[in-house]
Parts: sequence; C-alpha cells; structure tokens
Amino acid sequence: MNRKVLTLSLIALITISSSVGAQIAGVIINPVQQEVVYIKGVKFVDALLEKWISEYSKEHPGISLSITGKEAHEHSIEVVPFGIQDDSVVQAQTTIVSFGKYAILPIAGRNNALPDEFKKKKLNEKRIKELFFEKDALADDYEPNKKEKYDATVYSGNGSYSIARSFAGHFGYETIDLKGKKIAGDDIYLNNAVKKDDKGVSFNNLNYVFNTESRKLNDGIVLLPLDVKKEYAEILDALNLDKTIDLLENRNINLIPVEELTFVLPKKVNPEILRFLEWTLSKGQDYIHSFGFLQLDTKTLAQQRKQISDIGTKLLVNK
Amino acid sequence: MIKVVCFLLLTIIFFPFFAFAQEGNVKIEGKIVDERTLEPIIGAGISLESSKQTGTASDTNGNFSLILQSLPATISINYLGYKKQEVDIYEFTEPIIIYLRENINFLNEIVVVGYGTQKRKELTGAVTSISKETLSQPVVSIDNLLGGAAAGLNITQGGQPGSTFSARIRGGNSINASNEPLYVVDGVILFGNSSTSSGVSQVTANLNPLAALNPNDIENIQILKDVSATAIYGSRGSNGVIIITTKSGKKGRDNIEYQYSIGWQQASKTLDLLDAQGWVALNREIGGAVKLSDAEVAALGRGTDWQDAVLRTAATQTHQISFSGGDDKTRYSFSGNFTDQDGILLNTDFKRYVGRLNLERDVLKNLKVSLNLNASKLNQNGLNEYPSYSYRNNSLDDAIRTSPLVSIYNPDGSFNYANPYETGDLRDGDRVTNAVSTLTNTTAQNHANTLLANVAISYSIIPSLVLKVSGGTNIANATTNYFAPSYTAGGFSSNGLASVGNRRTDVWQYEYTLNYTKQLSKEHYIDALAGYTTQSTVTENATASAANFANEQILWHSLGSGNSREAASSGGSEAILNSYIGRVNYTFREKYNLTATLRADGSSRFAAKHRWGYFPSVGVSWNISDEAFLKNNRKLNELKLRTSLGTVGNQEIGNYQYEATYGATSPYSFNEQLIVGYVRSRPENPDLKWEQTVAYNVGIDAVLFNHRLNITADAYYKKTSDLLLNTPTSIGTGFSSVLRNIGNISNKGVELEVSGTLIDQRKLKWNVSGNIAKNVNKVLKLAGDQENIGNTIRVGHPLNLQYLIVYGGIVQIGDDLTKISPASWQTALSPAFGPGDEWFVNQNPVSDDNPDGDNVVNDNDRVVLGSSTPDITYGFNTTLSYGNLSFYASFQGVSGNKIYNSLRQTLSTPHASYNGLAVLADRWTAENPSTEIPKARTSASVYTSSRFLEDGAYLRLKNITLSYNLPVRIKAAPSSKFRVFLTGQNLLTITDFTGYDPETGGGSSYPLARTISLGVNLSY
Repeated sequence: MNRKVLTLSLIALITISSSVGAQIAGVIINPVQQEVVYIKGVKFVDALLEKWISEYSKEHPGISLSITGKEAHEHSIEVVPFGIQDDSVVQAQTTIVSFGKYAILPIAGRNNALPDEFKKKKLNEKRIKELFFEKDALADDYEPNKKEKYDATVYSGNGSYSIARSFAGHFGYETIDLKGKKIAGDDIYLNNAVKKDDKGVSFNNLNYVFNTESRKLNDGIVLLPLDVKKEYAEILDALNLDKTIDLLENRNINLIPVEELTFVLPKKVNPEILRFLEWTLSKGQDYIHSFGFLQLDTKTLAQQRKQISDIGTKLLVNK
Repeated sequence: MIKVVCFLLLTIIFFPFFAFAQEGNVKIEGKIVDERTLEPIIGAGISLESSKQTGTASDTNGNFSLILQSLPATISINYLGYKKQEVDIYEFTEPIIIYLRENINFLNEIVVVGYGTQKRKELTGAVTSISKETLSQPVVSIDNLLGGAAAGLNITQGGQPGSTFSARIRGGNSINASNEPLYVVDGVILFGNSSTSSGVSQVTANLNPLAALNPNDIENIQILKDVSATAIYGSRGSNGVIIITTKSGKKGRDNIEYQYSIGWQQASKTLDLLDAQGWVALNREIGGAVKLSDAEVAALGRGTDWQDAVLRTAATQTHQISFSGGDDKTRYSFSGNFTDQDGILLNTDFKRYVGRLNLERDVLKNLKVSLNLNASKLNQNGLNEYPSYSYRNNSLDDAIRTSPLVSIYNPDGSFNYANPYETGDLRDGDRVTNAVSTLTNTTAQNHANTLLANVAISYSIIPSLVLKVSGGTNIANATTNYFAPSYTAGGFSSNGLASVGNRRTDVWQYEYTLNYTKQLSKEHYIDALAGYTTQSTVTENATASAANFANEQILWHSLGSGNSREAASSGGSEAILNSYIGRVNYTFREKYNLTATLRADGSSRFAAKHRWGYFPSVGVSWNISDEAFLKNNRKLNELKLRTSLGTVGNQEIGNYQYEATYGATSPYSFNEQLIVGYVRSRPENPDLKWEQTVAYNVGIDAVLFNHRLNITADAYYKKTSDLLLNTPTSIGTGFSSVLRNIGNISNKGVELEVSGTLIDQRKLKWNVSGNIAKNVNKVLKLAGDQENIGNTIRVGHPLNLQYLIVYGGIVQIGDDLTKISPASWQTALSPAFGPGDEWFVNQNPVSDDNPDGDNVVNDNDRVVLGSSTPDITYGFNTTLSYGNLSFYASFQGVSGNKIYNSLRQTLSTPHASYNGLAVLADRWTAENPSTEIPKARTSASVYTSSRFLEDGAYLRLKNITLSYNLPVRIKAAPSSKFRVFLTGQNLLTITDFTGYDPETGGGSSYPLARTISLGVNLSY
C-alpha cells in the first residue's frame, strides 16, 4: 500500500513540477498535432494576447494559438507597436492591421521631490525636453556649459521593444538623446528603478503605470504633472486607469504620446489567421481597456475590419 | 528505502526552483556601438558598478559578454572620447545594444605630455596633437605625417629613401649646437639624427633613426612647443619635443590586421637640358671640340638623355601585419612590417624590417608591468658622392652634365667609357668614366640594426600615488660599406676605393618617478610628479679605407688586398646625463590651472662648476568660458587663455668640449724612424656651459559654434643666450679660437591652428583643418664686436643668410658702359666686358657724396637678400567621407625663404665639355638680345650672384588618399573588414623654384619622388 501511494505521489509530483517549471521558463506546449497560429508578441502586450487566445480558444476549440518569443515563424503574425519597431521591419511586411493604441505617461518614485516641484510649474513640452533629453550639441541653441536644470536621473528602456523610442520620437528625439541610465529588460522595471532612486524619473505605458486589476496607480510611483488643460489635469489627477483611458481616447493631448498597436501579417495568410484577427477587432475589443490599452476610434476600426474582409475575399478568389 | 524516496521527492519538488534559481548566475551579451556611425566600438570598458566582480571589454565587433552573479546589476560603459553610459540590467532576454555618444569637446581631449598625460582643458602649455586622420595615412616615413601638420613645425624631407629629414619647431635657436627637436618614443629619448652615420666620408646618405619606426604603429604624436610643455626635458627642451606613442593592445578579442600596398615613384620634376643639337651649337660658338659635320649632328637627333637614364620609375611595396588584444589582465600589440622602396635613382633603395611588441600585464591589483619593444633592420643603398671633382658632386650631377653626344652604352651593350668631350677631372689619358656605370657599379650601403625598448613597473602605493620604475635602451649598430671600382668616378683616381665603417651606439635610460594624482575636494585637483632619471650614451666608431685593388671582385670585403691603405681611424665617447624632475599641475574649480616645472640636469659634457643646470618654468591657464559671464554663451563653447615662461637648455654640442684634447700628428721622421707625435688640439675650457633659452608664450584655445570650430593661437618670444661660438683668442695660447658661451639669438612668432567640422551627418562628414605660423629669427649678438660668421650669419639678421652680390641684368647694345661697374672678374675679360655680359649692382660707387667708393663690383658689394629658412610655414588638410568612401588630402607650404640654386648656376655655365640647361639656347646674341641668358663666352664662368637666388616658397599636395570599405561580409568571420585605397604623395607642387625641388634645396641632392600607391587592408 505504502509503495503504491509513494509511486502515485511521485508520478503526480513529477507531472506538477514539470508543468510548473515549464511555465516558469515561459514554454508553451502544444500537445497535439494541429494547425497553430503563432503570434510574435511584445511583452507589454502579452497579457492582452493571452486573454484573447484564451477566449478565442474557448469559442474555436480546434485552433491552437501560441505566443512565440523572438523567433518568427513563417506563418506567424507579429505585434508591432508603432513608434518602436524600425520602419524597415514594417515596410518588409505586406499588411498591417491596427488593433488598439497605447499611451505613455511620465512617472517618478513616490519619494521623489520633483513631482511636487512640477505641481507649481507643470511639465510642458520645453520642460519635458529639458528633463528627459540631452542637449543637442549641434543645435543652434546649444548651451554646453549650462548646468542641468533639474536634479534628476532619467531611466529609460534599452531593449528593442522598449517604448523609449516612441517617447523620444514623439518629442523629436532619438533614444540615444535620452539622458541618464538605461534599463535592460522589460519596461516594467522602469517602475522598480524610479522606486529605488529618489531622483529617478521615467515614463511608461498605461498598463505598467496602472494596476490593471485595481485600476489605480501602481504602488510606489506617481505621475509627473503635465501642463494640460485644467479639466484634463483633473482627470489625470484622479489616478484612475479607466478615466485616463477615456480621456485619451477622446482627446488628443500633445504631451502624452499615443501610438497604435498593430499586427503585421505574414506574406502568406491563412484563413485561421484572418478569423482570429476578425475576432480581435470585434469581440476582442471588449478586453482592450481592461489591459490598459486604448481602443481605436470607430472609423479606424471599421477600416481595419474591411481590410481583413478584403484579404479574406482575395484568398477565396485565389483558391 | 524511505530515505531514498524522500531524497528523490525533495529533488523532484524543488528541481524546477533550483533550475530557476540558477538563472541568478546570468550570462549577458551585448554590443557597444557609436550612436552616430553605428560602427562597433572596440575596447570599450564594461565594468560592474558597486561590485568587486571583474569587468570586460568589447571586442572588434563591439560585442561583449559577462557573467553576472545576480540580477539586477548595473554595468558602466566607458570609452575614451565618449560619454559614460550606465545600464541597469533587470533581466536578460536579448543582446543589450548600448549606444555611446561621442564627447565632442576639444578641450576634453587627453594629451600625452612629458612623463604623463593631461586633459587639454588643464594644459598651460602649447601642445599640438597630430590628427587621427593624418596618422592613419599609409605612408612609408614619419616625415610624411609631420609635414604641414602642426603650426610652427617645419619639416624638410630628403629625397633619398630612408634618409634623415630636418625638423624645426619655432625656428632655430643655435649656431653650433643642434637645432633638431628631441624625440621621445614610448618614453625612450632618441639620440640625434646623424648618429647612425659611421663616418665613411664617401657615403653621405644617412639612415634616419626614426626610419626604424613603422608609421602604421603610431598611435599618437604630440608636438610640445612652449617652455611649459618642454621644461620637463630641461637641457634638451629648447628645440621643442616630439612625443611619439605607439599602439598598445586593448581589452577584448584578438584583432588581426594585414595591409599591403604597392606603389610607383617618379621624380617629381626633371630639368630641361640641352639636347644634342643645342649643345653642338653652343659648343661650336665657344670653340669646343665637336668635330662632327652638320649631317652627323642632325643624325644624332636629340642625342642621349643622361638625366632620363639615371632616373627611373621605382617600385615600392609594404607588407604589414598586426595582432592585438587583451583580457582582464594582459594587453598586447604585436606587429611586423616589411618595406621595400626602390629609389628613383639607379641602384638606390631602402629596405626595412620592423617588429614591435607592446605588452602590459596587471600582475597584481596595484602592480602593472609593461614592455615596449621595437626592433628593426634597415638597409639603404644611397647615392654616392664624388670626392672633389669640379662641377660634379655625385652621379646625378655627373649624368646631367654629360654631353648628349655621348652614348651610355656601346653597340654590344657594354658601358661606353669613351667621352671625347671630357677634359676635366674624370679623364686620365684615354680613361674616362660613365655616370650611369658609376651609379650602377658603386656600392654605398648603410645598414643598421636597432633596438628600442622600455620596461616599466608601476606600483600604486595608494590609489592616488603611483611609483614607476622604468629602464629603456636604444641600441643602434650601424655599418657602412663603400666600394667604387676603378672605372667609376669614386675609384677613378685611386684605382678602386673601398671603405668600411661601423658605429655602435648604446643608450641606457633609467627613470624613477612618483606621481600623485588626487581630486582633493570638489574645487582642488592636483597632479604632482617627482623623479630621478639617468641616461648614458656610449658610442664607438671605426672606419678604414684601402685603394688600388688588383682584384675588384671582392668589393669592400678585403681591404687588406688594396695596394694602398689609408690610415684607419676610430673613436669613442661616453656621456651621462643625470636629472631630477619635478612638476606640479594644480587645478582650482576646473577653471584655473597652474603648471610649475623644474628640471635639474647634470651633464658630463660640461666642466664640474657648470655641470648642473636648472631649468624652471611656470605656466597658467584660465578656462574663461567656465566663468559666469561666459558660461552660457551660445556661440562660444570653450575659451581658454594660457601663458607660460621659463628656461630650457641645449646641450647638443658633442662630448668633451670643455676638456683639453690632444690629437695624433701624421707620422714624421725622427732619428730615421717614423713616429707619431701628439699635439694639444684644444685648450681646456672650464667655463663652457649650456646654451640657455628663455621663452615666453601666450596662447588661446577657443571652441565655437557648437563645437564645430576649434581655434588655437599662440604668440611667443624666445631668447637664446650663451650661444656656443668659436671666438678669437690671444696668439699666446697657441690657438686661434676657443669655444665660448657668447652670443644671443631670438625667435619670435605667432601661430594659428584652426579645425572645423563643416558637415557632420551620420553618412556624410567633412572636416577641414589648417595652420599657419610666422617666425622671425634674429642673431642679436656674436662674440665681442664680431659682426658676422662667414656669409650666412650676421648680427641683426636671421640665420642661414643669403649674402650675395645683386645681379643687375644683361648689358645691352647701346647701354652706357661708363655707368655700369664691371665686376672685378670681368675687368680682364677677352673680348672685353660689354653687351651680352651679366652686370651687377655696385653698392658703393664713386660719387660726389661718396668719394671713397669704387667703380668695381666685388665681394664688398654683397648685401643680405634673405634667408634660406622660411619665415612662414603653413599646412591644411581635409577629410571627406560618405558612407564607405573616404577622401583625405593634406597640403604643406612655406613662404619667405630664398634658395640659392647652385645647380642652375652650374648648368647655366656654357662649357665645351659639359651639358647645360636648355634655356642656354636662348642666350644673348646681337640678333637675340636676351634679357635672361647672357652671351656664351669661351672661358668665362657664371658667377655667384642673386641671379640664382630664387623664391623658395611652395605649396605642395603632400598626401592624398581615396579609400573604400568594401561592403563584403564573410559568414565565417562577420567582423572582417576589407578596405582598398589609392594614395599619392608629393603629387603636385606649386612653386617658382626652378631646381629639382624647393624642399631638397638648390644643389644636386637626391630629387624628391612623387608616389602613387594602391593598397588593401584586411582586418579581422
């Protein structure tokens, strides 16, 4: 009896530990041979993709969807946040389908004195540039010996998928122009950096700035006050993810970079991919807000759906 | 059993967590690139902040890898000339690409100074760094890099491959001592240029000690010009200092580089000489010996072009390979170079084999040892000089003077030794020489094996205090072989002449320095140096000659077989220089800089009471742009004012000058025996001391328009006193003169260096830089009331004077001869002085106001007409690159100098035996009243006068290079680079000078070559 119990326990434990280990290592296993739609993800969008895959799989049990790491498969679709990926990557592909937007807000650690300082003189474009970016030594207004205006250390992502490029590009710079220290790893660690450094400032996605569960600001960080209209400032000051999303979906605020999230389609598209994309642009939109992203406006969304529809029609004709 | 199962259970349960925990020991990888060019940065230091863990460095691809003990961790990336970048690593999911931004600040440049380095911002002295673009040019000799590259540095190159060149920094300071700057190579002080000469008088070509350096091995060259920078070299600093640092290895992967170039050289200019027709016409006019009929002359056509026969298109090729790299503790750089350069004159060439090893090892955390070693073998076949023949100094001279009616070869291909027109020194009965044969068959070889090495141990007693002990050596063993067969000009009069010579020079140098560098507080920074150095130089030389060989096949290898042996000579000397050095660099608030230097030199070259000389200097500089009133100026980025004053010396007068010396007499008969006696050849001179130069300098460094324009300007005044001159002494001493410290020379001048970035885009870049300097040299005082030394030195004038009779022109028919004073040598001419003859200006004619004058032109009518030393030197260069294509051009120029063209004088003399310039065909006749060329006379010479004094100004395209990086990528070696280049040297010279070249002077010295080379550079 004891031996049987021990043997069963061993088998159970091996199974459990293997699956735990595999998940920790980030491996997704497709146990049976069936058609797989690979999605080459970007880390800050992965949670949304996983939710979509989960919900879509319930509705379409015959389909296997898988998020890959950096490797692209022949039939994989690729998530490309506009403003981050090199234009050449985008141009090399055939079709781009937008499915949402992401927004970037400047942040600091809770113990940083700068946010209080900026409450009096809020961050306008000039101050954002002074705070975050190196002076251009070749620019006409370069003042080489000018002392730094703010006693701050800027943290920005160094990875190829960091939103640093979007942020810098929005203000007319390149990532190398960002002052201070770089972070290797996901942009979520920018929160850690500013929390540890009382002089640290950074910027991040809404879904990393806010807790997508509580819809409140993540612990230990604060928003840097922006010089926006009073009514917008009041909304931002509410520190509520949904109100912030609502504001940014309906108002164009120049100081807050907003860029589209897109799928880049492979050159050979199969119907399964199209069905999944169609779903993301319809039912899938219900989950956009909950993961901290902005929905496309109605017109753009309709255009994207039509695009999918046209590709499907073409596919049928060619068959 | 239960224990085993429990163990297995625990293992299985915790296995995944163990596996995950191992990720704590993370290997990270990444790449360091220049943010603008996207080129990988090699050798960037990657260190861990707040950790004792050892860092690493990027390899040739800019890649690096590092194993971190835990995450998160912070790495810091440092590379000279770039801004520091820090990266916090929280997770490693992809290679970390780190972009570094260049720190484009001229004043942040690190400058190598004597016994250390300094930030340019903290410098108080005038120091010019040769640009990276210039140093990267594929040249054979270092003088090709230096010419025109720095304000106030005047380089005069020689044409002979491998030969010495002359360098002057801010003019000449001395008459009898050397005016060459001091060279310091990897900390070892090089001896003078002539020290590889073994003393064989027939071989005047010298091997340049700096030819032992491969220019491609040079990392940087600094020109130290003012006293604040040179005082640390004390008694050897008065002529300026050139510090050369060779390439060293850097942390990172191993790098291999190979470069091959092949080139072709031609004389940059040839002279236009009379052809056969012209020469016969002239010969007949002056009663020469040409007995040919008109038909025979016509059949000769242009005759023999002897100049063309001795000059040739010469090949040059260079192979060089280098290996470099390093790890955390050891850095190495090893290179080899082979240069084979044929000369543009027949039978002349230069071969160089150089090996270099620079090694550095961190033995302990605070103990570092380093080795710099440069070994070379140099072989030179030079142009042989003639003993003392009229009109001809060497084979080039001989060739261009030979009549075009004489053929070089006999019909059977052998050399033609029949020249009926030779009536001078090179005829003995029926025997004459042939210039091409002389050049081909005479041996004039220089060989030198050199070793330049320095071993240093640096020990950090505390982080800010470093003790350095170094030992260096410079060993040169030079031999010279000369053999002139009996049928050549050199051996003609002695039936074959052979000489051998050797010279051994051993220099040993030991240095002990203590360097304290500390940022004492936010406001105070100090860099203090104290040390003791000693350098000993031992030379030994011997020469021997023999003549009249029965068998000439053995060349110089058996002097004993010569039937007449000349007395062998030998010599030796030893000199020691012991020195104490001290220097303090102090910076206050990063704005106010002070450099105080003192060197005490004890030299064996001076008597006991003057043995020690003290050379102090002080320099201050003010970074005025850091002051509040200029700090945020948008146009002026940096501004620094500098000034310095101090004293430096010159001890390059040779050894034992203060001691009485005795010399051997020629053997004489005494009691019917030949004996050798000794006589006192020099009196004791215990008062002899250093030549001293007191110098002042004010300078300004400015950076403008967003770091796009750098300007450096300097003004200086130097007064050299206690000049070592031979002064007349009383007859009772038994000597006519004695060397004394009497006399003064001054140099004052201004210098300007400008460099600008015209275009600085990621793909397209265009830089331009230029420099100009004016130096006014004046002899202030000579011994006693002495007004001049020879014709070239006069009080109130610069050195190297042109002191000549002024040429007036050509007497024309109808000119009033009573108003023209004939020259003293023209009064007895036959036919008498008259139309067609040269006339000269009488500076002292008889007149009512000047009854004591004369009406004849003679040496008393000579006047100062300038100096052969230019008073303005300048240079400029430009670099233009677009993508993989790069273009570089540098120009060098001088102005304000006068060159006496003695070759033109010789070739303007109509002569029945020798050829002349083609312009002689346009000589004055009654029908052709030339105003340029006098009439031909049967026996007259053409006299020394300003007629042959020419403007020595020139502007030269010194280097031009077009290179292209091939966009080739090899899968197996993705970091490989392939570059092809086309380069040229001395391709264009704009000058009014009519000789071979204004740089090589007005004689028949080896002509300068222009070179075109094609090369390939492969690096991995």
